[in-house]
Amino acid sequence: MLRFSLGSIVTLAALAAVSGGLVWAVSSTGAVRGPVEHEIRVVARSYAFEPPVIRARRGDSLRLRFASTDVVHGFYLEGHDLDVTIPPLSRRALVTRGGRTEAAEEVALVLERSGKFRFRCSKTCGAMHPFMQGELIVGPNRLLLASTILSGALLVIGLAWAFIAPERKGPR
Amino acid sequence: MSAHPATDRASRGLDLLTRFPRLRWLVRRRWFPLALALPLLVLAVLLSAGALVGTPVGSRSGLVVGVWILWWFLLIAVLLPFGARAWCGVCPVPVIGDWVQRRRLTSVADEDPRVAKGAPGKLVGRNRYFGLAWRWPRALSNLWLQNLGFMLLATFSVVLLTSPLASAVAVLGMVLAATGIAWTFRQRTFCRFLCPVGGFLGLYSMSSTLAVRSRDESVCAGCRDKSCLAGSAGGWGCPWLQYPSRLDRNNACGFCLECVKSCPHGNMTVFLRRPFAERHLLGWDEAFKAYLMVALAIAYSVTYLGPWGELKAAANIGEASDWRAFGLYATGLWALALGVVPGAFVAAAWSGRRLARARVGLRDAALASASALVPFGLLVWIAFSVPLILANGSYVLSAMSDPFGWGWDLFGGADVPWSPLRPHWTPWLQAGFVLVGQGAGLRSGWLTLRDLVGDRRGAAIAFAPSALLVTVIAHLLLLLYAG
Repeated sequence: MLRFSLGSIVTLAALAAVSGGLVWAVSSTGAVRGPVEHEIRVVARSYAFEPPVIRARRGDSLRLRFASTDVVHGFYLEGHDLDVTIPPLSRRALVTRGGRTEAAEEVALVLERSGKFRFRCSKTCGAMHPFMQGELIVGPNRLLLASTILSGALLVIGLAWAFIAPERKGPR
Repeated sequence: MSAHPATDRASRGLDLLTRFPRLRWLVRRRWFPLALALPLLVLAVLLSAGALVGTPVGSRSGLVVGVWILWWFLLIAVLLPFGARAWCGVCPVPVIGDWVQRRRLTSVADEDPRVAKGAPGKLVGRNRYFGLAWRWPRALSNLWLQNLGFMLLATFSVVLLTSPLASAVAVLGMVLAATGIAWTFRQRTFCRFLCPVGGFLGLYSMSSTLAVRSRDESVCAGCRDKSCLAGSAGGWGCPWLQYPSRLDRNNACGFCLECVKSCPHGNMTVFLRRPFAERHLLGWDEAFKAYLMVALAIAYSVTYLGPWGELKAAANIGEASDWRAFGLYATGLWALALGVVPGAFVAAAWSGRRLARARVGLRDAALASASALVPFGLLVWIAFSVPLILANGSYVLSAMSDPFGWGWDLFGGADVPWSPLRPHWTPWLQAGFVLVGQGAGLRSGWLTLRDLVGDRRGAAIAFAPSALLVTVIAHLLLLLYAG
């Protein structure tokens, strides 16, 4: 039932190609520095992590230490097979990776994939537990760049097309 | 019936009841869709009663998880886009009220008004109703009360979403209110004008791929009985206070399918059509529904999906009891939903009208521009709901296995640990939904303004400020979801 004209398909394809190229070009320009190691102490409390956002670049590594200021919390990192149980008032956490669980004071992680990964509390800690989360943003964030360019292009091309294309004859 | 084409591509889409005779058989049964609504009512009452005395932990409660994860996701991402107000057809909330009005479950009280006098109850058309059967005041026959109700629920959403007790009170309160209104006022007055969920279901059902319509308007024009309105032996007159043969928009059609049953000519049917087919908003109440739904989607995305603990604490009045912080949060929410977003869009419509030098009123221009927010808002709400099911979907199995937290294991999943389902797909899916919504919204807004202004260039200029505003909101959401 949806009908697409050849012109609209070509426009969309061109839009996608141009966006992809732009994203690649822009996101590659900042990737000249070498990998960096970030030492971060993640403090969990109901219902937030401190720091709430961790920023790094692909190839960087993280050394994470954990602490909880109130009850038992969890630290589940999306897309990284990492789930940490953080007991209150303890320097050692229970780290589950690759199906194995062991007590540790520190978790090392090499960031091999770029993008946005939320970390969530994985241990029921109270009413707002399902919404307790933070963000690991690994640059270059091509998804954000591509979607932002596409969004802008939708506006510009849409209005331009509406303005330039000839008036359709016949009843609407 | 077979004389009518099954497909009318030029206008209404594919006639599903002609194309699929078994579906036609099903929807013409008197027990359909009650056969779905009744078990849902039993389930809702059981889960609510259990929530009153069971576990206080939201993520372990069958009611909280069943309603706010499973039902919400199915409603916003599946039923609404592909089934219009099909949920309203099977909703358990008005079932008891229907019985109070009709005093029968499946059969129809069909009487000839010329001879049926003196019997108890009140005749409306050819149907006898019990209770007071008052007419709903004309001044309130709009979405304003639903807008207000939804804002109130939205303000206390954290309590609703996390507390089994609050969810039970809300569900049982809705059933009680619907029953009381059904005894006092005619037909589905509660669903039409009071149900806080019904307001946005009506708005977003405009974008849906399903629609109940007449198959052939000339058959309706020649019909003397008007059974779809007055009722017949086959079905009740439209409970949604509509004139089904003249339906041309989905907003107030509750998919009860009574008109399909009552029409003696078999002329009412269900069409499958392209998405985002309806565009025109008819009043400020609808426009404000569109504004506040987009505003709430932004506010919820920041509050629930963002990393800012202070905001969550401020919204969490049920646990934190910090009324000052909650007051600030609530004020911000209401200001955004009823002031900032509507004000920005009305200003955009005003400036677009000036830029295009269009001879149209501000109200018409604003309503036309707001039509962009129907597909955009629906897709943004779907984007917001994606992580609810991907990250927290596993709670459904565990909570349904032990819905009251009493140590049961009904489905063998009570001890299944929290296990997200591909949560790292979330930003990609969310970005996709936002972009599709933006594209559909821009198209819808421009086409509606083209209908109003009369030429495509004038419409493009008049719509440009609103289109820019939609794009800015899309960028904000992309930053939040993917940035």
